[in-house]
Amino acid sequence: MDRRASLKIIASTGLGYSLLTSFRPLGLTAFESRSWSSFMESFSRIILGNYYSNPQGNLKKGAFIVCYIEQCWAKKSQETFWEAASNLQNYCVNSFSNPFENLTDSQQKNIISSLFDANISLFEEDVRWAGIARYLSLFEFFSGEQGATEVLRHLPLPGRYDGDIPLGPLDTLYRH
Amino acid sequence: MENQFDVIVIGSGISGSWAAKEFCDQGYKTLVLERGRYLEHVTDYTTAMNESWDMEQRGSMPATAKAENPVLSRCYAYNDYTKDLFVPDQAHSYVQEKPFDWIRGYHLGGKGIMWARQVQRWSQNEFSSPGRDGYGSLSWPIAYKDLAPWYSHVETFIGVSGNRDGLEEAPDGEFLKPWEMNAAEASIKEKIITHFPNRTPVIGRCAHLTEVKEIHRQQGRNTCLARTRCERGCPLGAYFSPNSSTLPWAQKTGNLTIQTNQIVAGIIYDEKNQRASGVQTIDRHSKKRQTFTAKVIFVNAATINSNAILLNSKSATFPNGLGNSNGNLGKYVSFHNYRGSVSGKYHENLNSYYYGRRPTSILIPNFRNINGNDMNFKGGYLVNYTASREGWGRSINDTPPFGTKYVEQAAKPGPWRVRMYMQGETVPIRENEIKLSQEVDEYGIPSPVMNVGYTDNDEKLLVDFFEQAASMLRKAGCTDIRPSDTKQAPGLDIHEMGGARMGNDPKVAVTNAHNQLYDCKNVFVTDGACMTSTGTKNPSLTFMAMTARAANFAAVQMKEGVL
Repeated sequence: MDRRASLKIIASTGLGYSLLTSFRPLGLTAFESRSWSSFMESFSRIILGNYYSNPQGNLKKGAFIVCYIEQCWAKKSQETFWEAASNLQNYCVNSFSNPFENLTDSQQKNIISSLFDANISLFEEDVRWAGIARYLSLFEFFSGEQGATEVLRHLPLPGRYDGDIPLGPLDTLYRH
Repeated sequence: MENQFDVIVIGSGISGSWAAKEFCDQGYKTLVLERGRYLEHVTDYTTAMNESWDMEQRGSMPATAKAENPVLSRCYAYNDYTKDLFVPDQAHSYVQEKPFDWIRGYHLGGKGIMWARQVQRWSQNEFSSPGRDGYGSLSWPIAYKDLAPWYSHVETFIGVSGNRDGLEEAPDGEFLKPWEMNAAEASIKEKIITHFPNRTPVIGRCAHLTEVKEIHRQQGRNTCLARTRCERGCPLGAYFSPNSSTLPWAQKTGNLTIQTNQIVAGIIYDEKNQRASGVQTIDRHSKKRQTFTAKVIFVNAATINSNAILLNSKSATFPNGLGNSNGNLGKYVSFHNYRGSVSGKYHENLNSYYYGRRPTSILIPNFRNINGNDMNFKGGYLVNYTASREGWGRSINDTPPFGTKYVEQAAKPGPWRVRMYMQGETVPIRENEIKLSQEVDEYGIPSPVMNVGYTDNDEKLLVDFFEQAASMLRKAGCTDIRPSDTKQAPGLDIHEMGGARMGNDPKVAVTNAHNQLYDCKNVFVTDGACMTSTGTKNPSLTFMAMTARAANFAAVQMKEGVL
């Protein structure tokens, strides 16, 4: 049985998150990294809606976000972020007997809506955490080729600067 | 004689490459010494065409690199695309008696690859004010009129875009066509002029080719395509850099020799003939020592290294360093105060957007202490501003806070955000100094010690900027006005100046009106080290003009046999 298959079984029983909640501050193991990749992939999928694409069924978005956090954030910030993510996973396991990524679309959407609702508290500082997680999803998307070229207007060689052009209702940002 | 030249130029950056060009044009065999590696124009700009998705972390720096380079990480231009162009913090250590962020580029062209490219002429007021208002302990020995023809000489060659605005505080130059203001910037400009008649926002002047003249074609340079990937190196040669312009030009004369990986240990003083005879270098890799000789030596290693080289050039006659007989070498170091910025939201021109990426901002020339000292501080400041639409990173309070519509909303241009920031003059004081450490580096050369800080004058100037910027934004109709003080250390402005200042009084000044050391007439200092005061403008154009002027003076003196 490969690591991915074993992870699936552990995750589906909710066992994985009792392991993950004992989060170690000094870097993720390969197992944790894959688990969080799967979690962030699911989170990004809800944030991006129809703009989410994953033709090979891989965890590219989640993996990038996990790698980005691990590579570019200070250890303390990483620890805080994953602790909060673990709190969310605990909430999902306790409430639905499943981690976030195994919930239905509707359950995931309800949870994310609650995260952004200042009147509902799923865990301490959940609104702040959700804002950061959403930012990461958008960062991955808009700094990636699909978001930068298909949603934003990509100008690799603008050729000139025009300081005053009309802005139509459907016009998107030029990617900078 | 392999190591014998007419002229040695220490440093291959903006000013050094100008010295090389001027001497080579006049037929002098010129050696340029660079302590870093060779950087080939175009082929060594390895990330110039990369998109964010070509980079492992989309251009962000890894946390380990940031932790290893706390100073460098504070520099706006340092990122995953440009990291190989900057000197890591530990590569050439220095002592900070007070916090000082020393940003460096050790390669051919120096910081001339990563510079911000803003080039404004100084006004006569900037040359007059230290003497007139009594600060900095020294008056400039030259006036605007002395430098004006050299400004023209440099501008014509490097290519400077700008508008002829007719302002005394921002003299016009030999401009290529200007960049445009965007709709919000233009409308804010009109409101500022209405409410503040002595303040005139103008489009920035920058060393970008908005059009290609014959002189630029001869350099093999092309029109700027408004990419603003400039700090990675421009394969088009669209902005001025030593590598795209002055150095290849000098090379074409056949008179230029470039030696890279040569760290200058000191200038050799010939006691018998009472002149500098050459330069001693240490190879960066082999540590082999070499001596190069010349009739004239130009010191253009950038302010801190130029001071350090002179301080380390000790001889029986000058035991405290060449040029230091009055004890002022390395003293009166100053910089630009960039601490303050004020931003606001602008609610007009909402149906207007902009195309392309402009490599300059709007500038409001200094409006303080113009006709004498009428403020509670000395000197002045210029204000830069830009207006842009907020991007996808802004907070969007849509419901639901996710999904297709949310992404589409985030992808639309947000409201206008205007940001004003200062470039403040700092007053040269003797206590702000560069000296040498007792400790030596791996080449046996003493490390520079930085003892440079802000003064009460800087704090007062900052307070005035905050008040005036907020007032201008308010009168322009902005809301949500937010001041911010970065409290950044000196050095992060990358405009350090002084230490070998020009002046007519040899008791105080280190260099004379032609940039010659008073102690040793065949050694010239024409980079930031020679600056008597900082003015309010970006200094690089003045370094270049000063260098061209001094090089032509030296060339005449060599022809006449004086040097």
